Amino acid sequence: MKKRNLVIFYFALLLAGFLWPGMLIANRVEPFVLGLPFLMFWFVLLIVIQAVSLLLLYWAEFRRK
Amino acid sequence: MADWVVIASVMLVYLAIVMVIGLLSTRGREHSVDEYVNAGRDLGFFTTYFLLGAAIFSAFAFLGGPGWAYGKGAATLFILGYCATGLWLFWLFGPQVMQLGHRYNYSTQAEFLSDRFESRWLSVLVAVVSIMAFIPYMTLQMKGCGYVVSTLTNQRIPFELGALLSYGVVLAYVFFGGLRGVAWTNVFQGSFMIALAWFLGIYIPLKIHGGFEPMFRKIAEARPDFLLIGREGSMMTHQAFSSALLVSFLGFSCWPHFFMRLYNIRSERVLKKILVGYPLFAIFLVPVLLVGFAGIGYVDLESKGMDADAILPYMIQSMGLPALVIGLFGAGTLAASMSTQDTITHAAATIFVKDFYAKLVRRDLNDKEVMWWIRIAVIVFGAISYLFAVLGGESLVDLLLGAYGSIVQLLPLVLSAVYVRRATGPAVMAGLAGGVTTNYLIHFQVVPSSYALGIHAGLWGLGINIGLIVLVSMVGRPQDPRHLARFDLD
Repeated sequence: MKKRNLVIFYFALLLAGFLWPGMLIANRVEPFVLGLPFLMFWFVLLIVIQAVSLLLLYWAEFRRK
Repeated sequence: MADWVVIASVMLVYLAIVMVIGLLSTRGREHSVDEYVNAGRDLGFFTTYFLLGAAIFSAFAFLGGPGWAYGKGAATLFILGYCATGLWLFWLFGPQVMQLGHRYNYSTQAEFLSDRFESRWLSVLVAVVSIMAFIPYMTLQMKGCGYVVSTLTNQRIPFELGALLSYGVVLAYVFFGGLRGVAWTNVFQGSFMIALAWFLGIYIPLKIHGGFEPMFRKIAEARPDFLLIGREGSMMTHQAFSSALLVSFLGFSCWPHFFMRLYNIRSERVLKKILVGYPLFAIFLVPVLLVGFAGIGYVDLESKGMDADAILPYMIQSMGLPALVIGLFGAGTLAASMSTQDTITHAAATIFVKDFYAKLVRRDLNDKEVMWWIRIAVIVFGAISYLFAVLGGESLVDLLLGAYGSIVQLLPLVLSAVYVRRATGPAVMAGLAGGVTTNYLIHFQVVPSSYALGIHAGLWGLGINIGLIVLVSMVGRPQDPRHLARFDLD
């Protein structure tokens, strides 16, 4: 049960990256990454991190079976 | 051959392919309600992934999304945010809902809720809330189809006929193919539009601006705050952006046409595999937004008296692209619209018959009758949406935006049903009614918007909703433990 709460907390943190005030750290145009303004890159980066995190979670859950 | 003939032919060929796939998909399957509504509760990863993905790639993807990027700048990132996070909550409550769905043969959200809370009227209320959200949704898809077909053929094919064509094709494969027809057409339509979106999203910015960075630099020089949120020159405030994203995140998985998929998926493992892959759909959307940004500085639609949503069709037509490519773009927009329209038509018809008609009017329907009533409802809901699409209705966009705030009100009900045994039927009905009313009152500014502090109406509704559920549950009598035991999980 503790592990489950930790996972929920981790994903809440990832969600907070999109929202005020979490997104304030990325609310700027410079530097450009991959040709994208920083805020847009930040959103793309978080989405990739989320997908990888979900994949790890999936592996952790189903490797045993 | 005139360009418009080529363009029209490409779109017609596309429609024909979709129709054939839809009609062939059910060959060799049995004719039963469970097959028609739930595809035998045996859908695998591939089909369900596209079924869920194509449902967010609506007309909004090719028209509204670029329109937002063009007109509102960074506010458009909201779309990426909710698309990536929208199904997370399925990881939490999805397996439980799946298990109960398989145990009691549920097909709709309301069947589960009304069974758990022992209330027929709850089912009716949920059906009304769902269908009120669905009709503007379907109508906008048809409008998108009509608009694209008529614009790209220079009005040789009128708006009414374009919308009617898409209605006809969707009607045919939903009517005959049921959910399986929808699923297989969505696999095709989904892959097609993703390929197209990437091609256009990379080609157009490179062609016009010579790259993404030069494009964004130009925008940032002219309007420094346009690519940011909550600054003086930004198009969206922090409150509006974050609360809208939060409402979409919370509400996304409660849209009935998403929620119902929990009953169709084969296993928990398949569900979670889909959830792992789902954020990729947000990445697929990025190029579509890039095209919208590319339009800034390229054309001033406002001075031409055109809507921001017209940005993508306008650019495609003005860039001197071959007619074949323009036709493919038209087909892609049709794909986006129809692959949303079909899922929602199917869900709306199922909900109307199972949760409204069979609960309120005819409680003795047998399986065969249910199937025929659903098919009739498919025709009728399509026809209603078509009428709205043709007769105008500019306020539809507003109605759909309001619907997001009312769908999110279903979340406390779902969570109570799964986790909170003490929550009672009257409490959740009061919560839902209160939440939905609050949302619409603020959304349509019956309550002055200054009172809402710029925060999304759905969040205020959620507050009232949860408050009412807690309060009324505390006052009321708890449900019979023997009834509740039916919902214990393995």
